[in-house]
Amino acid sequence: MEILTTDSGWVFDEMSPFIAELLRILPACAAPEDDAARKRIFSSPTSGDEPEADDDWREYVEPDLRELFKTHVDVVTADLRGIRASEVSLHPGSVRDRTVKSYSGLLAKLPSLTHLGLIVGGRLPLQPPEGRPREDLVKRIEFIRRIVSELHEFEKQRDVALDQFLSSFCPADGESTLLPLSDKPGRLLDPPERSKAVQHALKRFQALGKFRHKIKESVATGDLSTNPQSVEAFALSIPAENGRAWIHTLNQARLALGARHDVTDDDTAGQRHHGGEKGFAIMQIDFYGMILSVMLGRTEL
Amino acid sequence: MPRIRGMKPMFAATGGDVLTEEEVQTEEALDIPWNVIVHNDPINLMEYVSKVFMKVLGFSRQKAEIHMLEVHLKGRSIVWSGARERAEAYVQEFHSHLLLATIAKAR
Repeated sequence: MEILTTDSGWVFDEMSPFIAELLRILPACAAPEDDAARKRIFSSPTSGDEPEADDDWREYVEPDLRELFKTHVDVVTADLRGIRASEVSLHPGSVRDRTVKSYSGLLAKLPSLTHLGLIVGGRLPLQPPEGRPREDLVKRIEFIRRIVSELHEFEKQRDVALDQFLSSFCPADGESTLLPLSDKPGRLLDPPERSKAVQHALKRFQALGKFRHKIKESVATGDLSTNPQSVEAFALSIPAENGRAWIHTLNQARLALGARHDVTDDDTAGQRHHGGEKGFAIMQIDFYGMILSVMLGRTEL
Repeated sequence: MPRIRGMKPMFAATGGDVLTEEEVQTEEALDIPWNVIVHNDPINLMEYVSKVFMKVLGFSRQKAEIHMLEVHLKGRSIVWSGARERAEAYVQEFHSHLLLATIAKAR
């Protein structure tokens, strides 16, 4: 995905089907129809300390707020109808070509990576087993290290969409914690650090395996084998004058999602990681926040 | 940002004999400032909160960021104090920007 800022507004270009769908569901996510979202979007002006004032607020102010918010969402909904099919060019040898091939290669390996992760967690001894040469263990760990290294390299190349998606499930803690199994050929780190690194890698493998189907959908790699010159993509143009409505709706959706899934400071700071619906909601919050931040840079509130 | 119509003062006089008593209470209340308090939430972007402060209260960027950080680090910040009706108007503005804001009598 690329976001182009122009004099007339923004163009979201080369969106994967997954990213386009995240945008399409924005108005639905922003709708304050459930209790949790409604309480956050239409919060009490007195923290509930003065029920009479809260009643007045609900009677006199909330309808106008509701109307104002709906106006913003309607603008965004109308813009979203303009999502159009596009195409990502994949000229042989280009950075994009290499990146997409890297996706393909990694995605093909995901099942074996997941399987390997299970082996690591279930059977790989952290100490050389009785009667087996230490070199055998070193080779196995070196093999795992290469896989982890490849995974790390892949992460460096992935685009914003995949980054947003994976980072909500797979924390990127940096190279130092990804590759510490062996600091020199044939020499293992001390068991506590090694164990920690293996467990960390295992979590990443499991997370990747669990969500590989969604990843496959998101990057639409199925087309690559039959059409190596391009992949399906979408584009959307947003007029500059609609920036305020977008900023509001993106924010409203983030707040509503946060309220529905009880998202905390630790969640948004990346200190806790969730799968399932909450993990997906946090990913949406991050993704919408990224767009909001871009638009905020050139829009008066 | 369009003003939000229709909110009446929180403790409006109701007429009749009660009116005199209410007026006395209101005059006394004028001496007590009301605080506009913005509360932390885990979702709103820091940059966005600063921009709302600049727009609604006319803060400089530096002052807006000081209050934004106070909200973020301490959980809340008193961003304005004064007459109740104006405080109510500010709270409405903050709510229209989806910030968690409340009004409370200063102690």
